Amino acid sequence: MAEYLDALTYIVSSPTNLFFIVFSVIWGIAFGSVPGLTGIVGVALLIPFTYAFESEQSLLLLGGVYVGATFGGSISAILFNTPGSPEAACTALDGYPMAKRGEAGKALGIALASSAIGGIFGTAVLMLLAPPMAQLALEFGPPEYFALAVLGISAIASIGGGSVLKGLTAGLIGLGIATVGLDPITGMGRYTFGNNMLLTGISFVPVIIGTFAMAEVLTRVGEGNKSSTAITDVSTKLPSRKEMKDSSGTLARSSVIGAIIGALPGVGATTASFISYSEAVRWSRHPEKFGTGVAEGIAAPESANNSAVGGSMIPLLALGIPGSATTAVMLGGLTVHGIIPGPLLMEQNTRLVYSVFIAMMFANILMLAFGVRAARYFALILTVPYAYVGPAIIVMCMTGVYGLNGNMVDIGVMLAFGVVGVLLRVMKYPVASFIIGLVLGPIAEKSLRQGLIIADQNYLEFAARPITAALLLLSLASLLYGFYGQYKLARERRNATTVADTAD
Amino acid sequence: MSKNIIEFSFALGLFAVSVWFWLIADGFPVSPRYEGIDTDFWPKITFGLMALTSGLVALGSLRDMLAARRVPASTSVNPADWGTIGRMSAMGLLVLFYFIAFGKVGFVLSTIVFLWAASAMIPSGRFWVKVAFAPIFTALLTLLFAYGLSLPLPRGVGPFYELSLLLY
Repeated sequence: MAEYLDALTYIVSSPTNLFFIVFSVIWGIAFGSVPGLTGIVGVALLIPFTYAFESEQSLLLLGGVYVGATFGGSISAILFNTPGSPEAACTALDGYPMAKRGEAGKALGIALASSAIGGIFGTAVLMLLAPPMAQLALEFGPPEYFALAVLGISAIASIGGGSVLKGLTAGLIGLGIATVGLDPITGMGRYTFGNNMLLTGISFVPVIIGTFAMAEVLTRVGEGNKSSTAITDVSTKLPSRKEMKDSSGTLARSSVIGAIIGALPGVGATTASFISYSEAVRWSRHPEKFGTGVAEGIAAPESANNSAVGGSMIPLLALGIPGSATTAVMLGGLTVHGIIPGPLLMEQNTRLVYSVFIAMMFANILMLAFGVRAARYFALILTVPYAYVGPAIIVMCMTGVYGLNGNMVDIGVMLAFGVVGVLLRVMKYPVASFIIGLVLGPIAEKSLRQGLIIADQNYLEFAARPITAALLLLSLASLLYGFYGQYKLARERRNATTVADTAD
Repeated sequence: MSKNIIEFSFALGLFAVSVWFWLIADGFPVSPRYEGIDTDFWPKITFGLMALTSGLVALGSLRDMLAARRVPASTSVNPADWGTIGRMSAMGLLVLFYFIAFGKVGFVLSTIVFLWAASAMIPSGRFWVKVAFAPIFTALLTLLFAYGLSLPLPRGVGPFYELSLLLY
């Protein structure tokens, strides 16, 4: 309790902190609402700016952006039929039909209320579970950390939505890039090609900004002028008490699903929202109405994806393992300040951790206040021509990366990874897998080798520890599930082709 | 050119790179103290697996390529795709010029010119707004970085350096 009081005093005693929470929520909603920009880009772009602030303030900013962006995605999904972020893809299924019926304000209101409920639930779960989990993680040895890292990599490859092999390859590219620099055990240089600057490895932040923000702008510019119909004249109407009561089951179920799935390393809000949506359909008395603009079709994905935000912060703060692509990017932001997330962070930097808990709670409440009043203004962002937005983002990428160390090499790295990001997107290799691989690579390598040293290179002894074995089995199950999904998809496609051929 | 050929070439390229990096790892210096978990241990696992997965992706693309020979029109790269590649490349080149100018000319001038050129390249928005947007956005960003956050901005070289000193 004393930790919460200390953190609360820290936040409210400084107007700057409060301003940062407000600003980050606005920034997050703005980035989340513009299709393609997403919360990851919003977080990545803010990282260099946080360099000028205290570490606590930086995490307040990044946490607030994550919260705001997850809701922001639903604005464009409802009004534009184009999800601002992947986790809002499900919201468009019922949000846009409802908006087209002339009930855009109601749809936004349901999304907003559900997001706030899910977000508050997820943050409460984070507050309750992160400290004991960190305590438990203190007992973890290198084998458990290795198994956690493997679970993260395998999960994102399996549930990425596309080809499992491509997901794995993207993750392995990230793991490979993470090997550049000094070996963490022997201290020998690897893949430096005689360049001393590469001895310290490839800087994480320029890679993130390049693969997400820069690549996004280049891809959008490549797509040219895409015209779509946006509904921008709206006034948000929060659902009535009766409507909330009707959706209470869906909200509760989806919030729980979101928090659990969000907490799994490597699986994020997108999976949470899709699973919650399908569960809402399964439990509904009128499943046939889903997709035509029903309230539960908006409430389920929105409460789940916002609950997953709090859930995905659990492994980041308690274990130092990112629970999603956004938290992987946040991890990069923390390293800028020399903070290593993990169980020791909870003990050594309690104010930072508890400030994040409180700030995320504030952010969810603020989101509700902003959303009601300002959804229509955020909707206007969608009408700003990309001729201003795109180039402005490139300038912010360049300036932000230069601001980190004041050198041009970082910008060169960012541009190179911008090209890598474009190639991965064009070739349909998931960028999120790449980033997770890049983040988890050093953790996996170091813990595997340390574990093998401790186990005297006895692989059986290494893998036979109960938690390690359970996590490795989960990873295997996750991979097999992914392969099975791909096999099923291929079989369906083959059947469809056969039917088409027969019809011809 | 078929999309499948591009996919196949990309996967094959990844396969070749992973094999090359595996061979580089094989040449890393070894130490008896760390035998079995030496410097090459992790890179060999990573690039070995990458060779395997990218090789499988390449084989899958090859299979699709052969299957698609029955309906070549559906998988060929259409003019719209070439337009996409062209626009992306043009913006990429512009960003590259901006990168060079960023260090040589300094932040303010290079950014204003880049914003004018980039916004002109994207066909949306009004001409006069584009003209005004570049200097206003640059001024705001300069104020934020140089004065608000006290973060460094490139000043360029020679006369540009002198000019930048007057501004920030």
